[in-house]
Amino acid sequence: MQCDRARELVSGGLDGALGDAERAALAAHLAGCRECTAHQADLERMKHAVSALGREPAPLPLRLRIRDALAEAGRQDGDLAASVPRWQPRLSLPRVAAAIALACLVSSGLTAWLIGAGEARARLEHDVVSAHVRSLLDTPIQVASSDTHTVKPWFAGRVDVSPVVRDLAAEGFMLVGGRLDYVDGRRVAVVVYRQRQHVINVFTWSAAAARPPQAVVRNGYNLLTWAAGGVTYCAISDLNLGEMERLRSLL
Amino acid sequence: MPLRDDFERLALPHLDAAFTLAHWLLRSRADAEDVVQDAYLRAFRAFSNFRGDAFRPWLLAIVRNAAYRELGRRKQRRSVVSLDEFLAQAGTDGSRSRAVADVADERPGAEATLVRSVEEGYLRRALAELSETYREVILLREIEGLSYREIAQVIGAPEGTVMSRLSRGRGELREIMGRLIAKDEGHAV
Repeated sequence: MQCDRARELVSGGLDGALGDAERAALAAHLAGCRECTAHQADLERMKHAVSALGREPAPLPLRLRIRDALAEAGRQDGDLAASVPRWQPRLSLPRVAAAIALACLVSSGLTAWLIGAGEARARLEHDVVSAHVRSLLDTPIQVASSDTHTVKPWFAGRVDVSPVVRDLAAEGFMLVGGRLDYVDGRRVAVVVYRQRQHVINVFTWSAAAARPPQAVVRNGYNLLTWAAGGVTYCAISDLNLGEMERLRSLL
Repeated sequence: MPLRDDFERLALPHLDAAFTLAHWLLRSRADAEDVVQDAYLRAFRAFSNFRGDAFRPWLLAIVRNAAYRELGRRKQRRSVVSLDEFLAQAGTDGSRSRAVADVADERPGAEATLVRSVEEGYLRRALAELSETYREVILLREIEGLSYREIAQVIGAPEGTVMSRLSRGRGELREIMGRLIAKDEGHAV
């Protein structure tokens, strides 16, 4: 192999993008070529260094400006729909939702200033309550199905967890569907159940260790949090705690 | 507004990635802010046509196009951004500073390296001097960790092009780094 060809391959080799034959031929060349070995060492060092530079965090004012601009663009679209009279009474809801979402956003933007486990937990609970209320105001579902085998695969590739999804209609909990949400600065999978008129959102994200159930009340909603099988579950509803505990034991 | 909620849920987590790409392509924070805001609005308007799962490459492609439009406008106006100002904003003047990678290399050939230690200031200057064509693929690969396939989606080129641009771009980056280090050592002597 000529040095020119070896230099072409070194870069792909660092990304694991070479086929077996190319990789072997490159290794054979490098074993006998000081210059190309140095080239490879330099490229590898710089690859790690560029990666260590990391992202430039978007300034918070930009984040807020984009939120405002999207809200404005969304309202313009909404105005077209508002020509149908039955939309009139609902017009305030998106604003409420936007206000709640903005509050979430600001709180996650302030993450850097919030330290301590207590505050982190309070922030998480706040996000979950906001997301729950938002879901009751608007669009609770992205994949609507009572079929476990439709809802569960929908999450694959969208989030990094595969939460337990069960159809518990016989036990009184109807599987409504699933959606994605944004809680505590990350994308989470939400499995939605319904018992009579009560909506139960089960937020899920990856967990480092199993954790026994823990219940709190926030803004009048019951939150039940536990971790099992590498997944944290946080169920929220206006159902009573006994029923939520029953749902947990069924999952 | 279900559509807007969906869009925000998908797009806002990528705001740092979008800003980083625009920042490095334009080499200016202020221009990057304008371009990212413009790109997010464009993406929102196009969102109803979005199909598939590869949201991040789709969004970053829109950010990239917006950044190139701004670069085109600059060329028309013949306006030039100051590289020194850009580097100063990053808290470095493009000279010696903290090392982000050091040589601890006992492999044969180590004595032939051009880049024994990677100082952050040099690295930022070298990246900023690299042509946009190479700069963008290196950033998308190393900072965003995108696959060749995803990078191909962002820049609208075949995967083979991504591979060869990465190879050439890394080679050029090495040469620029080597030149900056040699110049500095020349001064020091």
